[in-house]
Amino acid sequence: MKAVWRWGALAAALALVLGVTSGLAQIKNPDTYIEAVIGDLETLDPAWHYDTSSATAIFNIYETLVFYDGEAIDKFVPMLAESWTVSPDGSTYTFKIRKGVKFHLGGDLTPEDVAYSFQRALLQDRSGGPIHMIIEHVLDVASIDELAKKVGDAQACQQVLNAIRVTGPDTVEIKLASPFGPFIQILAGSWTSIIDKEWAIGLGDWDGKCDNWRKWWDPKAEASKLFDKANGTGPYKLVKWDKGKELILERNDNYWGGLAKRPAILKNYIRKVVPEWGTRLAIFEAGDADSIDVPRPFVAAMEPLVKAGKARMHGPLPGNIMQSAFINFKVKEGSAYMPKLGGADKPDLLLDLNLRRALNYCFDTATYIKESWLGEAKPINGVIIEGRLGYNPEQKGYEFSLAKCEEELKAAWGGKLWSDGMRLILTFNQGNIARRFAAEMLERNLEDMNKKRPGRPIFSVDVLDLPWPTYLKAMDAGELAVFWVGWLEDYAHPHNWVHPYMFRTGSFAIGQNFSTLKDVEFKPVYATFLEAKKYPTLQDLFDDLVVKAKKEPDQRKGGRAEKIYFELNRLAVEYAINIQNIQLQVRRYEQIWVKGWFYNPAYPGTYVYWLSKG
Amino acid sequence: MLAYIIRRLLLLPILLLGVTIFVFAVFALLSPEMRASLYLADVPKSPDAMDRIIKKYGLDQPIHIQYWQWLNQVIRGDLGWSKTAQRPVSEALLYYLPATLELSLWAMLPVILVGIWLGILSAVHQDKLIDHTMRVFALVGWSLPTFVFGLLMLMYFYARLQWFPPGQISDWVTREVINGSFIRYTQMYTIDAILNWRWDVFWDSLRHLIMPVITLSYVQWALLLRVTRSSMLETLRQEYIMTARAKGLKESVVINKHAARNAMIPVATMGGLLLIGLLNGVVITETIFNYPGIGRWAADAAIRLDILSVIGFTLFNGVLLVVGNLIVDVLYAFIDPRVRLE
Repeated sequence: MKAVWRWGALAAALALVLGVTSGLAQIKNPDTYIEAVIGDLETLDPAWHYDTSSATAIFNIYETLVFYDGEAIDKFVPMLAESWTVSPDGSTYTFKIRKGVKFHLGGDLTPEDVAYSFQRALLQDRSGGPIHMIIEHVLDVASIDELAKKVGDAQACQQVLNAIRVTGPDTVEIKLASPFGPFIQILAGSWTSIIDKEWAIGLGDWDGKCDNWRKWWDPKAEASKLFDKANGTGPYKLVKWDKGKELILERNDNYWGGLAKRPAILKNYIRKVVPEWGTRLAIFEAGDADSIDVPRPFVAAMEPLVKAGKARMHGPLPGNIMQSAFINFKVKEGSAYMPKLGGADKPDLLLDLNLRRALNYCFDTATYIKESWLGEAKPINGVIIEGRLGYNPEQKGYEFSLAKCEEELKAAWGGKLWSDGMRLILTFNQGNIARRFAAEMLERNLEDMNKKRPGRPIFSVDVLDLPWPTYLKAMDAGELAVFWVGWLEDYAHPHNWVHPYMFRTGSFAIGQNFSTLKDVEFKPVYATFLEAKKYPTLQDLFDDLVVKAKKEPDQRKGGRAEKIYFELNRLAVEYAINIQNIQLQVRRYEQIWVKGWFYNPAYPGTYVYWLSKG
Repeated sequence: MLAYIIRRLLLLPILLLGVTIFVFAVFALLSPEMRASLYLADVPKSPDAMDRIIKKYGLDQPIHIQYWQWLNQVIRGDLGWSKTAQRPVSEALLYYLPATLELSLWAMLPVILVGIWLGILSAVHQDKLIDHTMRVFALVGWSLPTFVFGLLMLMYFYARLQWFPPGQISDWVTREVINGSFIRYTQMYTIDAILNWRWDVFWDSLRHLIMPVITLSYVQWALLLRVTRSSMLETLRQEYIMTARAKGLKESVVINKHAARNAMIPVATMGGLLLIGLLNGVVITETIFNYPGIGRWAADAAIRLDILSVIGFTLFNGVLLVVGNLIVDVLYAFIDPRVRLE
């Protein structure tokens, strides 16, 4: 036994030495920025990616024609474009391409590279990818496949080449199908990053010709030739993407200068994939990561570190995500989630405005924000978040009032609802605790109304969680009566809010059947330059205003577009198309030695170019 | 015995076929939309996105057709694409295997040596303080969930003391691998470090292995301790042990030469169970310690409903268990000549 104790003592002493030596350093890895994140990238192909992990890598490696001006989300500075002009009718953008810029592998940036990058992206147009945002405005269709089915493959490709072309030794022109004020916003997104044409073709990517573009159309992630390769012009270049493990980038010492006219300060940037929260926290505590992903339920674990001066917290900051409950005016026949009135199926139960208003009055927003979001959310009256053109702070919403809820319920369906009872299913995706809380709170408040109407058929409200894909499918098909979802904006413009929330083909509006409500009168309150008129359906009214706002050349604050967006907010509230939207706030935690970070909600992640350690 | 081994090996493909049918059948319970979630994690931002994905990946095909297509691929040596690992499944297995193998090999040593030693110690000192302490130790190890124990280890020995970091290796070693100044011959860092004659890398790799090895070992110790103790107690009551003592042999000779050797027969049959335990253990251990092995990959794949990765992992497990059990059976016959494999 003595021998055992001797070994034990030796091991302990060894461990102590190890511990002391490893605990000495203060700023760990002074020339490297390390992030510990939940998930890996999906791809390095700019035209394929649509997730924030890939976007973060790509916007550190590649560059776009324009970029966000500091913290601003609606002001842009030239990046790979030296300057740009917009035609008087707002439909043609001409970019003067910067000279003297080199790709990481040595190629020179040319206008041909720019045109090719856009053309390739439009022709690739992968399922569920980001390119629909550009196609919508350049080709006026939802996808390249849709256009090809209309005009044939060759003609569709030709239309792409005609819309985006090199017009001079240093200019590229992008022609829109119709004017779209915020188009420049889309061009700041990482999906329009500029790639080296010769390099891409050399890898076996699209050859620039129209006869066989389908060969490269809609590839699986791994089938793209740019899947795990990168050759940008940005401040960092790819060293290694060890899939599922880490991404290693190295400073581009031949960088053309970028926004601060200098190369990046830190030599390396490493993104480590650490899915387990406890492990990420330990890595941060040990100083081996400069910042980590902190899901909201775990922020409490970071607070002691902030209080002890061992970590810095930025926030709560206004996020670019909104949580909403959506009301379907007419549930699809045969739906498993069919509402009932007086015991009989009633697909259009929620067509009644009084009932929709009742749902809003019965919803205790303050408690929802406090309990589900730790107080870090803001009620939004309308569909446009704070900080975007069209957000109207004066817009009134529905306060929490059980008395008003009761009043509206009594009036719903001419009193039939109160006397005959109803069945309503509130849905959300499985595992989402915040949405469960919201649905159960509304369920409780509505069912409590039964106490005020004894002897009558009851209000039966059920809360149902569905697996995410089933939920999405049912939502798209219009099968859900009330459903909770969140929207993360793609670009910082109100069009990216009114489109999903109100437009005919919008991600959520598609499942709400606004066209069920007929003969809708419109009397402008803010946009008095618009004529008062009657629309066949509520959907027609929404569509008309969304398109008018989008095409409006005057996109300034106080301008005509803003007034139309005010109208859309007002209509969203008056017609009660949602149950109280809330804009979430975000936090960022970093080591105290990290310098230079600022918040731009349009950034997909950390832009390491700005950062230093010290 | 050779016929027995051949027969067992011939059964392997049938067993694996059964495993794949079972896994496919389980996934058949999920709708095409659910399986499409692997490719569509957010709200579809264009109206036809989900339908296009389902069509593209053939998720709307009847499950037997999907299975048949997959089987055809497998026969051609293609296990499909692992969305989780972002590489072909077969490549993913080969990529992650060395790390898991390295971890398991390092874990086997303390698991077997310490586990058996503790069991013998406990039996020899039956009902004394050491025995009680060992039994409590085993009970705690058996009842403490691996992820709790692992997290406690991580929080204390890494976050607090900064002794043993998670992951497989430090960034400076990764940099050397990229630069080519450290050659990875076997993909196992400790072995490669010896082959490169780089003791700094060896030490760094060992530092990363210590916590996962202890975490993996603790549960196994508990199991092995209890089995060894029971077996040892039974052996110590045998008449030949009394005879050995009566002959005046030293107690250490009685214990080590006569009792322990025979007590090992039932312990050897534990080999298969230990292997299963280790395989189950690496899934959690690798996840907690962010150790890039097969276990972490499998856990991630299962959460994401990455069917091809899950099947790849299951097949790998199947092969390992069948071969592992076969080795145990053969060893068993060698240890105990009374056993005949027929």
